[in-house]
Amino acid sequence: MNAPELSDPDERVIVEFPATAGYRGVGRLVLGGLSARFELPVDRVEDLLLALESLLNQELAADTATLEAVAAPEGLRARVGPFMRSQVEDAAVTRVLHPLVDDVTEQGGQDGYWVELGVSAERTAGVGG
Amino acid sequence: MTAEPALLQQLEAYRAGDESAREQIVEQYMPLVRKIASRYAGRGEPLEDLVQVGSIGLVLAIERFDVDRGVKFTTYAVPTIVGEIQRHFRDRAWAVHVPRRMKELSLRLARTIESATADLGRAPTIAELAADTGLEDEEVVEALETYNAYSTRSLSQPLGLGDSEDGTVEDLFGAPEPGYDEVEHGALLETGLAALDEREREIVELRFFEGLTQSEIAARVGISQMHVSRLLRRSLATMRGRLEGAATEQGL
Repeated sequence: MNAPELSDPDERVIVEFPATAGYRGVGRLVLGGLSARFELPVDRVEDLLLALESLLNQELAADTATLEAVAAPEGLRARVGPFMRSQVEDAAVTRVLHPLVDDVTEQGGQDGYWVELGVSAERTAGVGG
Repeated sequence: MTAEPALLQQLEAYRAGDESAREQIVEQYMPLVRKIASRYAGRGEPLEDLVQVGSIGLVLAIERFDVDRGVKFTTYAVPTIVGEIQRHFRDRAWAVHVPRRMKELSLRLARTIESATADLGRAPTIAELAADTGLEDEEVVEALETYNAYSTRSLSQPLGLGDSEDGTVEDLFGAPEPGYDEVEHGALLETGLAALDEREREIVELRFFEGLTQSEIAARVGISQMHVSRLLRRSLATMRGRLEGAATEQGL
């Protein structure tokens, strides 16, 4: 596991799965499940999952994809990678990602590029405790 | 008129009642069907089954081809054959991999989202959907995924031709919509947009160029939010397929 940790380790979920189309649903289910902890309209959840799927279609620098998602107080953050190339420098990728989530950042590491997607949202009362 | 003269004669004969003329056309174009089917081999379905399904597409193309449209028969037939094969995969995926209960849940969820959106004036949250349907949050997420997975199974297919029966290659790969030259970094998207049918293109434009939410698009276009989500996924996959498979397409 080479994924750099997100800053807030509270309620963190990490999943590693084969980088093949048949396993992308695993990442979607995990991220969708975590998004249920927030007051997010379902269309924003679908947007986030669409952003994840768009990223998972890019070329990875490993045989497995790693998704690290955090239910932070200010919202949901998801880091995915490692990618072979920078995604934020790919205009076609960012053109799709930016309308779908609130922010997109990237961090380069020895093992490749990691993209972090952020969605601001209120926590759902009564969960996560 | 660009249809081949011999084919035109055969079509004319078939439409005058000569069944053997259709058989001749089928026989003539079966290598094309086999070539397309072979691209979908190794995905869990026997090649011969795919050839058979593709041949249904070929027959449909023969039935529906309009010689007055001025396009080659293969231009019309290829997307029809591909559409039949993709539909086969989609139907098989739904029938084989999705438990009946989950199918029912996902369809119920689609209806609930639609009515809740109308009631709330916005898309409901997962928690609200869970409360409305009596499901756990995770079950709602799973049902959403099921609904999407059902229809996007075919999207990772290599051709990226979409599954419109009536579309021609010109329809699918025609000139991009004008007016996007000004959009920063828009060239790649334009290429991808050309692979979409009219409705898919409209939805992609509304979401990624005009910034409407999925629910707003649903209201404007007159379909459900879940359907918008499904079409967006399909469209992006088709666009990717178009970009990645352009060279392959030209070889067909």
